[in-house]
Amino acid sequence: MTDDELRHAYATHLADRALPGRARCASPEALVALVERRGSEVDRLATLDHATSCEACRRDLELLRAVHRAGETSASRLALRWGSWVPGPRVRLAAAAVLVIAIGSVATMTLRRPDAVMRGGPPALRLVSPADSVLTGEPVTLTWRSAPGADRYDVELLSLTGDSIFSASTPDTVLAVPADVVLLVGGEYLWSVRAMLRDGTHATSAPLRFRLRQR
Amino acid sequence: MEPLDDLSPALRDVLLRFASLVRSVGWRHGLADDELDELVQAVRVRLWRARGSGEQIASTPASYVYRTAITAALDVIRARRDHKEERIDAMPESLAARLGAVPGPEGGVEAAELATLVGRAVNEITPSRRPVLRMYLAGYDRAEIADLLGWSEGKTRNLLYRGLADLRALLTARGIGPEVST
Repeated sequence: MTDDELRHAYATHLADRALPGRARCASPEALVALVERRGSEVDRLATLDHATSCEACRRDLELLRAVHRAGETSASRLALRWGSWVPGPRVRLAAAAVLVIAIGSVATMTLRRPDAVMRGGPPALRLVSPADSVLTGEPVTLTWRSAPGADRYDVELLSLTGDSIFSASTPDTVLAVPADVVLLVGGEYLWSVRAMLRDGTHATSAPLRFRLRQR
Repeated sequence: MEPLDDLSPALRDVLLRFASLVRSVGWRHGLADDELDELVQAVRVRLWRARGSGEQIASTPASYVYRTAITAALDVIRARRDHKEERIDAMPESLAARLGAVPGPEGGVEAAELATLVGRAVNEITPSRRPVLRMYLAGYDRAEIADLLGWSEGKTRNLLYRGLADLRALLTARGIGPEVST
C-alpha cells in the first residue's frame, strides 16, 4: 500500500471510532506540555500516541500548536523589529546594545520553557552576510556560522514591517533566496536564523539588515 | 467599549499581530474559523480584564500575550470537553484537506475493513515508533513531527521509516499488499 492509502485508511479508522467520552483522553495540561516540549520524552510520546489516535484530542492539540507557533513567530518578529532600529555601521556600539536586548526578548520566551537550556549565555549563532547591501541582479545568498549541535537551520526573511517574505529550512549554513522571491530595489530587509539543536533546544541569531541597491 | 480600546498601544499591537498569526497558523493546520474566533475573543477578554495590572505586561507583551493565549486555549478545550454534545465529523474537512484525494480501496478489501486492519496493525507497532507513525498517518510531515518532538530530522526519518516498514509487514502478513512505496 502507498503512504497515501495507509493515511486514508488510518483516517477512516479514526473517524469510525465513536467518541467514547473523554475520560481516557490526554489532559489539556499534558497537551500543552507536549507543544512546549516540557516534561519527559516518555510522557510526551505517550500523550502524542493518544492525541494522534483520537480525533478529538488531535483537534485540541492543533489549537494549542497554533497558539504556540504564533507565540514563537511573534517573539521572533518582536526581536527583528528591535533589530530594525540599528541605524548603521557608524554606531556599532549602540547597535550591539540593541541587539543584545533583542536577543534577550527571544531568550525570555525560550527560557520560560523549563527544558530549554541556554549554554554559556546568549545563543552562539552568528550571521555573516548580507549585512549591508545587495546589488540588483546579484543572487541574495544568506550565510551564517554553524552552531554546535545544530541539526537544521530555519531561515526567515522579513520586511521591516515584520511581514514574512521567505522562509526555509536547511541543514547547510548557506541559503540562496530563490529568484522568484520579489525584493524591491531600495527596499530594506531583515533576516534571521534559528538553529534547531539535536537536544531539542534552539539558538536564535540576532537579525541582520540589508538593502537592495541599484547596480 | 471595544475591549481593545483599553489596552496599552504596545499590548494592543502585540495582540493584533498575535491574533493574525494564530489565524494564519490555525488555518494552515485546518482549524475552523469559529474555533479561532472563540480563542481570539477569549484572549481579548482576558487581556481587557487584566488591563493596567502591572509592569510585566508592558515590558514583555509578546510572552504575556502568549501565556494568556495558552490559558485561554486551555479554557476553550475544557469547555468543549464538558459539552456533552461535542461531536467529531466522520471525516473532518481539515483532515480531508490535509490528506487530499481519497484513493480507492486496494485489492478488493472494503475501505471500512481495511481501516480496521490498519488501525489494529498500528496498535501493534513498537511504542517507540508508534507516535511518529500515527502522526505521519494523520497527515503531518516529517518536519512538523521533528519540530513537535524536538528531534533531529534524521532520527524522525529513521523511526518513521521503520514504523512504516513494520506496518506494511504486519499488513502483508494479513494479506494486505503487496507493498508499493511512494
